[in-house]
Amino acid sequence: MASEINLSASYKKQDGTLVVTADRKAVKWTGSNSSASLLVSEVINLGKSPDTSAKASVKLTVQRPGMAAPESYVFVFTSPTAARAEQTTFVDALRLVIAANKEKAEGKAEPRPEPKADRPDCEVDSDEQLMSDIVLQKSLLSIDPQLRQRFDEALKGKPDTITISQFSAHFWSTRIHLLRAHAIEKKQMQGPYNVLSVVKLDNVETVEGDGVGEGKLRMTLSKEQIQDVFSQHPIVRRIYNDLVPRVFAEMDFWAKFFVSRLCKKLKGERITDMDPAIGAFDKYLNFDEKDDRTKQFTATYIPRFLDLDGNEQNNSQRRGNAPDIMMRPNPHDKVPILRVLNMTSEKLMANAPPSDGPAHNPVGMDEETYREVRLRDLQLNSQDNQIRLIRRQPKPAAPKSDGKGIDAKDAIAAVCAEVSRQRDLPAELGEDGDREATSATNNLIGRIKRTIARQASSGDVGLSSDQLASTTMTHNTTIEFLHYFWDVYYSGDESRADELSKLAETLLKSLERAAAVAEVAETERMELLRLQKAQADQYLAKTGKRLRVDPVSGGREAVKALLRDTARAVRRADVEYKQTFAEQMAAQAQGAIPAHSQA
Amino acid sequence: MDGIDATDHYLDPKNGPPPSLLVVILDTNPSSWARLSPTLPLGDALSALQIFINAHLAISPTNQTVVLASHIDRVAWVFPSPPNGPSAATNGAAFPSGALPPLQAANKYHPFAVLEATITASLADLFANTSPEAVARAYSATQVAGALGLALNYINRQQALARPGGEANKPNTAPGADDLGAKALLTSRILVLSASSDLSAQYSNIMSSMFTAQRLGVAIDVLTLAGKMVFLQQAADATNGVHMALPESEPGGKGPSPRSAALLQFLMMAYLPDATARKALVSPGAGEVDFRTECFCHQRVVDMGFVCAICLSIFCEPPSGNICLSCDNPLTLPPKYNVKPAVVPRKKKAKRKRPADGNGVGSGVATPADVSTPTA
Repeated sequence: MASEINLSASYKKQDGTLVVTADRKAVKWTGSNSSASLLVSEVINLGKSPDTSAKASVKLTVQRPGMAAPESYVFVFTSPTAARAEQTTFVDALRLVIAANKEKAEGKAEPRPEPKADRPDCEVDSDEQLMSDIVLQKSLLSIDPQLRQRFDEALKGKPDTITISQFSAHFWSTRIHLLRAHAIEKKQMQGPYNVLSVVKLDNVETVEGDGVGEGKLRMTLSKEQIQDVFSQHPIVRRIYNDLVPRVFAEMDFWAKFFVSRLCKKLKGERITDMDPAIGAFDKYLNFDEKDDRTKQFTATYIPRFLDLDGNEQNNSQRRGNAPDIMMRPNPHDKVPILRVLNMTSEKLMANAPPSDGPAHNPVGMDEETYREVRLRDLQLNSQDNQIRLIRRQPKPAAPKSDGKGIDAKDAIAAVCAEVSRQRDLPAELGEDGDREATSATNNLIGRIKRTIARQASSGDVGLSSDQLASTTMTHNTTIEFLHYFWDVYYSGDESRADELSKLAETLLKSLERAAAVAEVAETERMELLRLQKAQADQYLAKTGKRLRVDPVSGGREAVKALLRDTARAVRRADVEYKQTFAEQMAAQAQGAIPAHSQA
Repeated sequence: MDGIDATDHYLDPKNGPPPSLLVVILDTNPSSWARLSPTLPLGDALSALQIFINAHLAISPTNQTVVLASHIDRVAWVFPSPPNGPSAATNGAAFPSGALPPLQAANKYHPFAVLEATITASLADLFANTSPEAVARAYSATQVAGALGLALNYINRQQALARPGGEANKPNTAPGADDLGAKALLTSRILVLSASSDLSAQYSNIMSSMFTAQRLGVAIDVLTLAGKMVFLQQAADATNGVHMALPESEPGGKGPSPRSAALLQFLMMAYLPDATARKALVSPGAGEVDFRTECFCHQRVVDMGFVCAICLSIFCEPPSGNICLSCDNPLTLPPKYNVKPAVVPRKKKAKRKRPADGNGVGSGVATPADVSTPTA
């Protein structure tokens, strides 16, 4: 371990001592009146004055993590004899460390993307990440118009003391699940697919000269598709590198490739004599397909999913290791597509990320798989680890006595007498009985009618869809503010008391908004009523008969009925707030001051 | 000849509605009935009930009925009488099914006569064996939960008997039932006629019965003559039954009380249709149902409270020692559940205020109930 270095140096024209710690992590300067210290890890640059200058000094540029601009410290070595030597010592001691730090800093930037890429896409972002990801929130808002509407409406109505960031933090805090689902949706990518089968040639009519032209073939090819073609069929890459730009231009290359026999062979279609014979591609027609397979076989990790030794005795068909009938290389194939498709699938899967397990895990089964796969049915039952749930019935409370004191004996005697009295069942109801029975009937019929009315009228309210939408919007925003209000109210945080008072005002404003919506609905209804009346008058004038006018529903009453419970909730919140406020103001005025304690 | 005069369809169980079983649970708390006697004496109520049951039996020869008495401390069979019969010690009211007073037997339809006689005898026996101390002790108690359990047991057995192939060899002992009915499916319902109020101690049992009834497809109808049965309201709502309270009325003069006429009308109009008929009718529900439950510690009805996450028992306030009363698990409370709201801004000086007691618990329309979580 290096030892501490003590040098005499001056900083800002003050004499003092410069100390480098033994572990070379910090540099401290102490002067008569002041001191300075810095961490070597923060140093980005170290410079020294040239040997020819009079003073031996050293300049350290330090970038502290919190600050925007780097600071520079200049130390002048003041030793009368060995200033230069000290300068050299200092510089040497720190130079390596600083260089190493620099490399680490740069090196950190690059390895970091890779662990991220390895991270499986199903890993979920934490709540804080989702809350702070504004881009994600904006994209979710742009996709879901209803959510956007709610957000905008609530934003419009919010009190001014609440900042936008506070507001949006509260808004999203109850909708984190939406954010998470959206994030997962966005992260999904399309997997590899067989490109050659997707690229199609369209026969496009072109008009040339006298109006009758040849059909030209058009196709579109994107960059990703080109890359996919190269990765799925390396032979195409080879040809491309050979031919372009020497023989063909790029467009030309692709145009010729997609009509060539080679392309058909790669797709697996049969090659007929009608296909154009393009010399440049056709020489590769007889390429060896097995060359492409090297990547698959040199994969670093092949999971052991099949125990060939174990299956030796267990193989009922004993066909050996020859590939499946569809996979055998057969130059006289009448339907090469079967083999080609299978091979293409194999290539695609080889390029896709493996789902078996992290590629860097040790080869072989891991502990958990081993435990799962083991046979267990002949083992003795293991000890029961269950925790029994005790569930006791509540003790029955003593029955409440009324105090009216019906004597028990009398009661029993009375009922005994009642029961043993011989009586005939009444043959008819008396007058009183009749009256009672009629009123009971009316009671029942009233109830039935009410039930019918309740069941039937759950749909139509009589408001137009616009009115309904604005009523819904008012309700939604009011509920948002109520949420916010109760959240702040029960947080018990004294510093948010101002916020609370503004929120209470906003809630009252929501009531006014609801009233405004009701008014608009009412004017609409008035209009409808007027029209109806006009119609009825017309009818009367024409035929002399009165048209029966049904009362027009909707309007203020309907809106009020819809928003009744919302208004009740707002008023409840308001009452509670005012009550607590009055109590606390009184307590404050009295000056009673035991310490405020929270449970 | 039978095919010509078309008498078959009256007794055809395959095409007609299935037989219906009605279980009547009658609250027989003497104190409650004594309190009711000015407007509705027990005798008149029994007459109305009798007429109602007769009507039910008259609808179809395959209909059955059972009457249970939910007494202060036990449940007793009223009809059909238990095999050992009412005790021989009572005077003359006990009878084996044959020995009816001849006058009545002559003019009455036999099943109705048997029904009336058995009910009278059993109730007389029941009241004769009730001691005044028991009545004084259990002021307005009635074992509704026990009666519901007994009724559901009976219904279950009857349904098993009625199922084709299942236990069909056992004789069907309830009078008024034909053997023709044994093969068809049985629809059942329970009617609770109560004169007392809820007992908090029976809450969990009533809820269990409610779920069982839901499972069996049994409707629980409730008609309260006095007092409020909150839990039975929920039970009726959950099982598609009808719950109503008989309206009050003036006491009558001589003769049968007028309120019994109202009782009869209610029974006949709202409670007579069986499950098959109810599909075609709109039942007169009581409107709003009070869905509140009661707390475990004090048996008070609550609408906001604390719930143990392991055994789901409800408390109105955190239990002492933070241990759940029924499953003995330690509970953790949410961090700020009883924070007193601070509504007034703090003054800049060093003095701190003590906020008045705000309600941390059990208030607020928009906030959800707090949840206690157990520690590992």
